[in-house]
Amino acid sequence: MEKLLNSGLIELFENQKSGLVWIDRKQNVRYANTQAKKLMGSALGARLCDSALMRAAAETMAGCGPRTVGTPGAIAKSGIGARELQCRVINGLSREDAFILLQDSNATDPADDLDDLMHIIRTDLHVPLQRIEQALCVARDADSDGHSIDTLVNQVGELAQVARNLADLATVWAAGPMRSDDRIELMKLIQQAWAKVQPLAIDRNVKLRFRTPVPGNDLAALYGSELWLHRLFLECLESAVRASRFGSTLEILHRQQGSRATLVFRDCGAFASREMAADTIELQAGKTPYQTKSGSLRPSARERVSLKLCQHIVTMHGGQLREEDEDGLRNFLIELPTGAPHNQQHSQLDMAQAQQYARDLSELLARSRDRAGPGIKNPS
Amino acid sequence: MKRVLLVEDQPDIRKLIRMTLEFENFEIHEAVDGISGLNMVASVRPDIILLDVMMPGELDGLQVCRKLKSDPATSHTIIVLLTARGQEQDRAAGMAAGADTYLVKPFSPLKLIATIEELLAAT
Repeated sequence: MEKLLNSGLIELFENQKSGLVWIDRKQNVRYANTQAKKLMGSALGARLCDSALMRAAAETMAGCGPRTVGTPGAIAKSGIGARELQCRVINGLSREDAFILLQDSNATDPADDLDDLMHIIRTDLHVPLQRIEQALCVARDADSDGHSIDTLVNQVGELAQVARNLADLATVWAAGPMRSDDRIELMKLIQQAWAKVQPLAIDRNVKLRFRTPVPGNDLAALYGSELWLHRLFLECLESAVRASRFGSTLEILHRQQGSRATLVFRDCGAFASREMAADTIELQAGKTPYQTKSGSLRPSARERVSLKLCQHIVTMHGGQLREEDEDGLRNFLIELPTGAPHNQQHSQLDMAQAQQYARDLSELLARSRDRAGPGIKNPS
Repeated sequence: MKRVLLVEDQPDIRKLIRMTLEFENFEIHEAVDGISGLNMVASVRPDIILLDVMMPGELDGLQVCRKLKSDPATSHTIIVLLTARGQEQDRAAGMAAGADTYLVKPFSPLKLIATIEELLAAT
């Protein structure tokens, strides 16, 4: 059935951010875009099976206008319960069909982003601030010893780190198009980021295996902001290490496809959802991946903010973050353009180069005339 | 006639450089990215390569330069890096990759010709 569809229509459907299902009068699926298949498990030719959705579709096709209903989504392979989907049924191309737009009710919207941010300020900032105030009180005491000063320094350090994270997030949030064109060697970048994550990895006995089809030094170079790309890998590695099982090996594969490099964090659970984090915790046999030094569970809101930060960084560089299922493995992928900045200012450079050419043209022509001169002399 | 291989992803810049070089007596060959440039070196056997630094793909100009200069069969080939990156550290990276010289875009066509002639005369 898919082959009968106009390719332009398929492209249109696939470019929808939401899931989109096209049904016929009998409520059979004519087409479901990738997102819809993922959210609802819609198969071509299959009939809708949720009664509320069927009723809404029938009403819309009967001319009652668009309808919105909730329906359970597909059961994820990880065993997480089905998600509630918001389905909006709208008129199709005729009275014989309809479109269903699917939205994951759990998907974040800007309000959720703000909630996450507020959560981080409450949890990640509030506690260190309290501790630092206590440590300051102790340090102010005339009898304060070296240990008190060390404690204060540690607390200030922790607070500075949290403040730095928030400041970075705010900076990247407001950042426009990427202007930097630093040349970055991927292998070095990963090594540097890993060096920073290593204390956590040692603590959790997690090892890193980085697999590439070519020697690391031959990997295609990235262009963009070294600062932000370093941050991206730091966040991703840290999240992956936190989500990794105690004593496991974090595996990252590198693939080069044309002008883009893809880094596949295999089955690592990076940026796991709240539910996934809970699942992972159960697997740890005593070691909880989201546990901080203070013993409190790290909120998944922080992971979500971190993911947003990474998404912004990757988007700024013309790449994308995504998850992929590979035979039941849940892979996390970073895809980035290589060899040149993605937003190279061709036109400006072309113009400047053309102006240079125009400036030199008379001289070039004169040379050419001089060289051709003897050949075009009149023999008489 | 000396052979010039131009490796540059931007068609307009390729055209301008070709127009510039056509005022002189060069055999001009073109490649649009690092991989095809590297492949063409074996068949064209250029006397000089004009190599863009930033090219989308698996190999940027610095990597191509490094590969050519580390291969005994091509290490003698003159390489001129062409780039919009004009900072001292970029120049140093180019020279460290083994480039014979480094021209910053937008460059003067006269300067380009003079540079090529100077480098060829020195061989």
